[in-house]
Amino acid sequence: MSETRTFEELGAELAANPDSMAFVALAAAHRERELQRALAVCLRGLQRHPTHVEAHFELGQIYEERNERELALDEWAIVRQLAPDHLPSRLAAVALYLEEGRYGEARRELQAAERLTPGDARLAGLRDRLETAAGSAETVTAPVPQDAFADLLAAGDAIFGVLLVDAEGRVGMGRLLGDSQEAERSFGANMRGARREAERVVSYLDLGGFNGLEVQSGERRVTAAPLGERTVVVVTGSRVPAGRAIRALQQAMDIAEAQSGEETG
Amino acid sequence: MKGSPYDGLLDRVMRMPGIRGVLVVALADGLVVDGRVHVGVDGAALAALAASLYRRAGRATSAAVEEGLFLELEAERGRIMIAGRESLALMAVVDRRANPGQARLSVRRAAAGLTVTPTA
Repeated sequence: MSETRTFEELGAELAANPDSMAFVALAAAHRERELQRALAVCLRGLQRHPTHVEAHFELGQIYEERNERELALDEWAIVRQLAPDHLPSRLAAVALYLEEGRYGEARRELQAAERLTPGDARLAGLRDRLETAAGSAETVTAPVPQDAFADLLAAGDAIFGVLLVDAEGRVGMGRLLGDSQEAERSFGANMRGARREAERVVSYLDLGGFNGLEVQSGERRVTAAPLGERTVVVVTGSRVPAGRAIRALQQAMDIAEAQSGEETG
Repeated sequence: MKGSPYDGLLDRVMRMPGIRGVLVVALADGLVVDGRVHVGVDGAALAALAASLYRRAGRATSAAVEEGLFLELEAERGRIMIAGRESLALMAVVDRRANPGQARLSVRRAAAGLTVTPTA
């Protein structure tokens, strides 16, 4: 039997049996030509088969092609939770982290992959890329602009960070006190991803516009709100009252808006 | 028919005014463990989205998923609250008219009772 099946064959199989696993191959075939359709096919299939490892991997690849990188990384993270020895998802994640300059995460993922398949030539290639890129990054580190939030950061010892994260997950302004630039980059990317996930949930439930997000862990409280495509984020200690964190967030939003006005005006 | 081990916990949250739905979600794979959602809401899809958001938020706060986070999303027409404990999370969809403070307390309390092998 031929390994390559046509669109028509795959589509017909899926039409005849909506529970068929053919949706993964069909989504992969669409990915080459029509990303939106590939996405729709894959998401529909995953609703019926939410733990299908290759479907999550395929969805990650579709997101990557759409330049929705955080969503791609999320899907591959799901793959690794479902199948920890799934090497392609680890390779894909390492490559993406390298492109994003997130060397710490690339290194962790690469080490995990190396434990799975020591001596794999693809891993050696990625290791070379990582060492070269991380070496260059140590020599040239672009400072993150932070002046506009400096007063706010200095105002209270319980404020650990004030940041403006752009639509790509980059920290455009502000900083996270005590953390390295790489940690700030990673934080920015994760906050952008969290916002997108939050918007997906809100949209799915038809709750109208997304107004903000608060995350509280044992140590930290992260309060964030959208400012157009950008996200303003305030990080405080978890014992800081929510009202104070919200007030700091509002001040940060005012500063960011004023700054935007100056830049455009 | 024997009820789910999470029945009592879910019922307590659902009794709060303004709670539109509650799910117990397995964080690792985003599967629904148990829950009550309104007609028209696909619980499986919602659970997968919630688990993904929770994991992402955990990464942003550098917290391990098992550590237990509390998340709150605010939207024009409602709120979503997610409280995690170990490998499970309790997600509630809260109406805009509900008292958010009471809802938070109820969700947190219920989540504190989440265990992989519940006895209640």
